Formats: sequence, structure tokens, C-alpha cells
Amino acid sequence: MADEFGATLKVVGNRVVTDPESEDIVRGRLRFPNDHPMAGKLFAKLLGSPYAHAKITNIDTSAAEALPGVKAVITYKDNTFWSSTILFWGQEVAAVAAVDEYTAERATDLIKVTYEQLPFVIYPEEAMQAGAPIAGAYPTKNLPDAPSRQTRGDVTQGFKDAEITVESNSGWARTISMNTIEGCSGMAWWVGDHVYGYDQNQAPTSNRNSNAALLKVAQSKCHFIARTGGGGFGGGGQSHEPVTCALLAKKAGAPVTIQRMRRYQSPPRRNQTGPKLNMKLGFKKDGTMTAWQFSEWCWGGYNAGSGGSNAWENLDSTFKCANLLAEEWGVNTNTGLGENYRCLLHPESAQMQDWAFLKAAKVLNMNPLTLMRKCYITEDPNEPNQDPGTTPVAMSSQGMRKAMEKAATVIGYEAKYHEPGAGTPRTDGRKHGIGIHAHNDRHGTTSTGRGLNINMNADGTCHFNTGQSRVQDAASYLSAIIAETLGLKWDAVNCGVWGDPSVASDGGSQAGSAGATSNGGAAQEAAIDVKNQLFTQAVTMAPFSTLTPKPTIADLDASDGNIFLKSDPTKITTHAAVMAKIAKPIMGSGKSRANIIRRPQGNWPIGTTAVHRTGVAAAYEVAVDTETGEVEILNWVHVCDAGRVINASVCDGQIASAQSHQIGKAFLWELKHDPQTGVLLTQNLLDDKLATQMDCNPTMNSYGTTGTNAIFLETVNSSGPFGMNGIGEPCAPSCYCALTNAINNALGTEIYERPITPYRILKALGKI
Amino acid sequence: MSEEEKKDKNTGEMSRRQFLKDAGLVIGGVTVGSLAFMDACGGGTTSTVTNTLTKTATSTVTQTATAITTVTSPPITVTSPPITTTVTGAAVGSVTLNVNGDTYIVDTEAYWPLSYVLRHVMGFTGTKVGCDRGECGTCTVIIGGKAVLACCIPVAEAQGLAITTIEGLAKGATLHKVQQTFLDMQTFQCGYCTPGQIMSAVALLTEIPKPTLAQAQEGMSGNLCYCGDYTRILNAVMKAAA
Repeated sequence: MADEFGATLKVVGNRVVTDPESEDIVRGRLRFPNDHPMAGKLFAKLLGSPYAHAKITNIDTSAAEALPGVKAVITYKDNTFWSSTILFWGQEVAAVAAVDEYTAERATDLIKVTYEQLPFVIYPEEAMQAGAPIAGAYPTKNLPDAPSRQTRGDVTQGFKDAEITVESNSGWARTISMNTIEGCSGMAWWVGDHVYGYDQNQAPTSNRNSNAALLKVAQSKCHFIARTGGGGFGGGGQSHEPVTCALLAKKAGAPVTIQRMRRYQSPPRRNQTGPKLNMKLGFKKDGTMTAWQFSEWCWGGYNAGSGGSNAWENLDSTFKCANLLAEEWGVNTNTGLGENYRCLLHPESAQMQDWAFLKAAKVLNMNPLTLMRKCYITEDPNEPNQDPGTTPVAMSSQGMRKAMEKAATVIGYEAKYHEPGAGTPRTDGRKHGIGIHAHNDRHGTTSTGRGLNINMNADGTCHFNTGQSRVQDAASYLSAIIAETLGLKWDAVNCGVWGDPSVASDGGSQAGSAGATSNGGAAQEAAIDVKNQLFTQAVTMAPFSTLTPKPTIADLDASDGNIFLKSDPTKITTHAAVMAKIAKPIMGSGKSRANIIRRPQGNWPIGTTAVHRTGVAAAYEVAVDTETGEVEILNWVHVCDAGRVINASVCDGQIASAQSHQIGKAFLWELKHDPQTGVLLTQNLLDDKLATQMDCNPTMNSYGTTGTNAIFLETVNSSGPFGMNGIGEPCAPSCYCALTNAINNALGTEIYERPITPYRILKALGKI
Repeated sequence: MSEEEKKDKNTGEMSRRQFLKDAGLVIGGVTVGSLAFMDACGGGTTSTVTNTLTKTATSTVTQTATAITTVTSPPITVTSPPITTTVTGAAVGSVTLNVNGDTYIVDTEAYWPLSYVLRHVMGFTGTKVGCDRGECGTCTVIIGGKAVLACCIPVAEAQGLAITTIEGLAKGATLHKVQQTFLDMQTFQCGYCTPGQIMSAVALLTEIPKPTLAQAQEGMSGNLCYCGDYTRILNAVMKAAA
């Protein structure tokens, strides 16, 4: 009875479905890369550069090699991924493998490196100035010749047509390093000219390929498995720890494992690209938007490239405007490489747009929600925000406005809104603030190239094998999708292999929020493949083989481990019975499919290529103490058009996770360097502050309960399996923006520096 | 050589039996219970242990000898079963640890953190390490009913104390109530911090069986979760206490 469009779903949407590996997790048996036991395993430690910009002129590893217990030392000369040119503090210079971690660490102290120090620049505003030290890839400057540019219409004419123009310009947001708890780890060993190992990343196949190239081995001889992904959040796309381990293992003739020291966790490739933004909007007096101009400079580390966050793509799909200009510059500095954090729609970018909207609403004497209703895209599938003169393309999920209205209603936005800073003081003297945000998020897009295989077992159960690493909650939603499609009970489906490119290749980064839709799509396709093979065998067996007319596979259906005739469910057999009789394997394979809408909507039939979006909104109420600068969250609501909720528990967790991260982003996270030395100061989890249990809202009532803090719209028209959308990342900017909009509303003044500390609040109020 | 050992040799992969042998490589002395565990898995003879001990002692003997004599260990308050098997050859640089009710004599440097010894010497890899400096709570174990950060305890100071790791919470097939609640409520995403969260919750509920929400928040505040699953974690703690 597994209906593609959710008529009578047995497994999908069922809160009972749990991660099949749950017991391993709570027993501590889920193995991460350096948990794997192996005889004679050695432990590696890295030596990082103490300078932000330098040239290595000499390196002497003899003392390290002579230390008892040391088995191998490698340097930048051995590892083609490393270099004698140092571009940031902490850049890898050498590594040691020894019989234990502490011998390896002592040995790194014995490596003598001679550096020729070079002028460095840490902050992007300095890097952009004439005469600044050249930090990275460009020979004569720290900016590209031209920005990444997107245009539509004529933005100059749009501003000429405007009756009001508003601007919002941010400072630099130096927010977060991807300081995940598990750190970067890996393991490798050699058998002949084959290299084996454990990796940890969000893109097992592409990492295997790049690591094979670095090791100069054929991909067929490179057996790196990224079974566990840990938390990625945008920083898990690359991992070269297995390369370090493999090079050491080859020298030592023994397996080598590594877990980066915390201080070397964040510098390489683990910082969010820090943006500085200018947002300029033009409106008619009736609120019609005539022009949208977005400029972003991205603090991208030593090789920022030409672009930034691609934030314009999400912003652009939120509102209606014929004239658009988006420009993004990457700025090179002597810091670790920047990466997208958790969402292509940088929360900071969305916030600047919101603040420009709030300014416009004030000038136009409108409630901000009224202006949003005027400018944001509608439910009409014929009116997604398309380029004029081009063929319109459907948008596969259009729950954004529904989410916005729901959030506004739940929080009471229209009634409670007041001019910024003009709210009636609360009885305790604190200032009240309220904020709302909505956008269409491109995350969750179903992309092609994900691979997944299913093997039916003789007893009617099955295993799936995937090139995806085991990241957040993936096991439960993949199991649910496969069980629903195959007509099995949910616990009859289990994962055989995670993250092994040799079993099921994967076309690229699974990118967190795209995992459910993309790999889920591959899972559904593989399950359909298996079901067709199973039914083909079933129709040749009793009770179907003796029926007249002889049924075809289209006449069969499956549910709860039974296969039966649709027209007469008493004619029934089981998956197990079919498998036992054929006594041969059934294997199915699937790839993720392109963005095809799966329910008719408006003028768009099933099968239409669609732009995939997740519509989200959030609203927050805060109280700000103007004497201490403390902020309390009084009330909040998140609304997400997740499409079909495959696993409600997973969706709950993603909302809570988004909120936790954005509380950190708003109030805690700040990447700091010593401007005198270039040393990263926020090296550890004490200085690089994460939100704790004490910082987070202790209650959340959500899907399936009586509360209203987290609400999921189930607009089942998207391109994901069973009409699902991506979730997780879309909720991050909505939380950040609604929360900071509320603080802005309370104070009546924008705070452009992040994080919003009590000091910065008091400074904005003129009290410091 | 068994088929399993042949597979290990050819592929480099680790079998369960080989894992247990490797545990024997670095565990200087084992209890009857531990030997029985190895026997039950089809391997782990006394000769295996002795042979591998020699390898270990060779590489650590000099430094360990110096380090171990300078350690002032706390009074031994072992209440676990007595050691019934002591294997000679690893006396230099060995400490006695009581983990999950079993007693082990372990070859180690005295200053090595308990977390490292548990994970990489003894094979209790359920204890994860995040920051390695007492900031994240991921390595939490329970000693004397209290949550303790295993990355901050030199192993010599853990001698004689009753140490419980995540592997020691369940009674056979029956999960500890906190483990079962975390499972039932799917209180994890990537799962890396989960063992530490569970150990802190167990210690909290041992000290305060019916905590208020604020007490539970404070009690769990030493355990970071980068996935940000705090709400579900708190809900699970409160449900386990109910």
C-alpha cells in the first residue's frame, strides 16, 4: 500500500521508526575512524606552522626520527598536498607516526624548521587596501579581477524607477570555525600497492578520488571508507587525514591513525567564509520592489576564489523583482580556507536583506509583514521569480508564504509589532522586541549522481549499501524510504555498508540537507528496481501463477512483508517466501533523480522539471535588558515546509539543531586571530564558544505533540521521495534573522558586529 | 592460521577475534573474566598474551620505569573482584585499573590520560575524545558515581578506582535506563558525543534522581553537542528521571 503520493503510508512519517544503529550508538559501539583496532597500529601527530605567512628554508627531522618509539616522519616534501610556502598559521608542515600519541607529539617538538617570515595580513579590510601583503593565490592583490556577478533586468533603471531607496551595510562577520567535536580523523594501511583506510567526510567518493590522486594510486586500489561522517555543517567536504596516515604507514610499514589536535582542527579548511554585505533596495510607494542590489565580500582565507556564499540564489527566489544585480568578491587573507557554513544562504546575507526591508517598511509606513506580503513570491506556480522573457520553470515547493503567515499568526506578529525601539517597556523594565523572517531555501535540492544498492536476503529482509557516509539520522530516513517502497516492515531494512565508494559510488558532496532528498531518491529508485524483480518472480508462483487471467507485476502490491493481489488481497504471499523459492539473489540499484515535481500543481503536470525550494519562516520575541545587555528569548516559532515528513524525530532534531547553532552564531561565535602574530586565538572549544545546554531553550514542542514551537507544513509537491524536502540548513538563517530582527526591534538600532554580546548592545545604546 | 586470520592478513581488515588478540597485546594482566571473554570468542590464550606483552615492554620499558616511580597514586579502594591472573613481564610501567567491574594491569605511561588508555590501550573506544583538554565532556566516564573527564585524569591517578565506561552501563542485553531512553527518543544525530552525554546523565540522575529542568540543564551543560541536539538530550534526561 505504499502510495507514491502518501495515500496510506505505513512507515514514512511514523515516529516509531528508529535508526537501526541506535543501540550501537548508545552502547558506544559506533566506530569513528580512529576507533578501529588493528594490530601494531601507530599514532600520528601533526606539526603546524607557527607563522601565518612564511617560506620554509630548511627542515631537520633527524632528532624526531631518533626518538625511541618513532616509526616514521613525513614533511611537506613527502606530501604533495602540503607546501614549503606557508599561507596561514597552523598549516601542516610535517607529521610523525609513533607507537603512541604522546611519543608522536614529543617528536613533533624535535623537528627543527627554519622559516623565512613574510609579511602577512589577517583581516580582509586590510587585505583589500592598496599595498597590503599578498596573502594567497593572486600574484599582485588579494581580490579577483572581477566578482562573481549575477544580473537580471536593468538594476540602474530599477533604482531610477524607485520612489524610495534603502541600504543596509554590515561589518565583517567573523563567526565560526567548523570545530566539530569529533575533529578530523583518519586511518590508513597498505597491502602491497593497495591502500586501505577509514576516512570521515561528507563526500566519500570525491574524497577517495582526490586522495588517490595525492597518493598516486589508482582509484581501484584506494579503499578509503568514510563510514561515519560526524557533523559536517559545510566543513566536512574535504578530508586529507587518510593521505597523511597513508604516507606515514608506507614509511613505517604499519597502520597509522590520526586525530587532529584541537588546535590544528580549525585552521585548515575549517572556517566559515566571513561576509561583509551591502544591500540596496528600491521600492515604489505602494511597496512594489523595483531594484535589488547585493554586494558581498567574503573573507575566504588564503584561497578565497572569486565568489562567496551564493546567497543571492536563495534571496532571489524569495521575492519578486525584475531588476537584480548580485556581486560577490572573495578576499584572500593569511587564514585558513573559508567554506560555506550550513547554508548557501548566509544568515548574515539574509539578515541584511531583512534589515533593508525593515527600513523600507518604516519609510513606507507599513507593517513589515505587509511589505513582505507585497514583495515575496506567491503560491502561484506560474509566478516563481523567473527571468523576464525566459520560459517559466515550476517551483517544486511553495510553502514559504504559508510558513510566513503561520509564523506570524502563532507569534502574533502584526498585533505585537512596534516601531524599532518604541515598544512599551515591560514591567521589569526590559525592552520588548519582535522579529520575523521567511525565505525559500535551495537546500534539499535533489541532485543526480548519488548511488545506492539494495540486496534482498533469502529471508525477505534486505540490506542497503550506500556511498553516503553515515551522517545525521541518515539511517532512519533511508530505511523508511526503502521499507515503504518495498512494502517491508521498517526493521526489515538495514544498512550493510556506509560510505564505501567501491560498493556504491556517490557523485559529490552529500551536503547534509541534500542527503535525504538525493540519497533518499537513490534509495527509492533502488527499492523500485528490487520490487519489480521480486514481483516478476512472484507472479510465477502460487497463489498468483494459477489465477486466470494471469496477473502481471502491475497487479501486485506489497505491505508489511506481504505481497498480494491488489484486486483480491486474500491472494497473498510474502517477500520471504518468494526469496526462498527463487534461491538466488535480487539486487537493485538506484541513482538520485533530477528535480521533477511529483504532484500536479497549477499548470504543472507530474514530471515537470522544477526549481526545488524549502520554504521556511521563523518568528522570535525577546526581552533586552538595557542595563546589562542581556537578551532573553521569550517566545519563538519555526515553520518549515519540509514536504512529506519521513521521520518526525529527525525533523524535530534538525529544528533544534538549527536553533542551537544560530543562538551560537548570534551571541557566541567569533573567530579571533592575534593581529600581531597571525595566530588563531580561538583554537579550542573554550575560546571558540559553542552553545551549551544552558544557552538553549529547554522546551520544544513540535510535530506530533500539542505545542507550537516547531511546525512542519507538509506540502507534498516536491521532488524528493514521497514529496519530501530538505530540512536542517533552511531553518538556520530563518532562526538567525528572526532572532536578530527581534533584537533590532527592541533596541531601535542595528548592531552590525557579531556576535551580539552584552558589550556590543550597551555600546549600541551609547552606554559604553 | 585460521580462515579469519588469513582474511585479516590479506585484507588488513580487523576481525572480532583479532580485535580481542590486539587487546591482549597491550593488557598486561587480565582477570579470569577477561580471559573467559576471549576464550568465548574462540581465541586469546595465555601464550598469546605473554608473547605480545614482550613486544610492548620492549618499547616502553625505560621511560615507563622512571615515570611510574614518580607517581603518587591515591589510596586504593578497589571493591571489584581480586586479580586472579597476573602475567609477568610488564611490571615496569603497569597500572592496575578497575573498569566495568573487571581488574586489569595495563602497560602505560603514568601520565597518559585515562581516556587514551581506555581507548587505545584497552580498546574501550566507546569513550570518545573531542577536545582532549576538559572542555567538551565527550570523554566522560563515571568514577565513584561522579562524572569525570577521562582526558584530564592521568591514568596513574585512576588506579584502584571503580571506573565505569559506556560499555559497562548495560547489563548484558538490557540497556541502562538512560541508554534505553536515548534510544527510544532518538537522542542523537552523528552520535559522537552521545556516550559522554549518556554518562553525564547517568551521573546526574545518580546524584539527583528527580532533577528540575534547570538542574538537568546545569548537570548536562558540560557536554557539548556540535549537532546542537540539546533539546532532545534534555528531554531524554527528564524522561529517564520520570
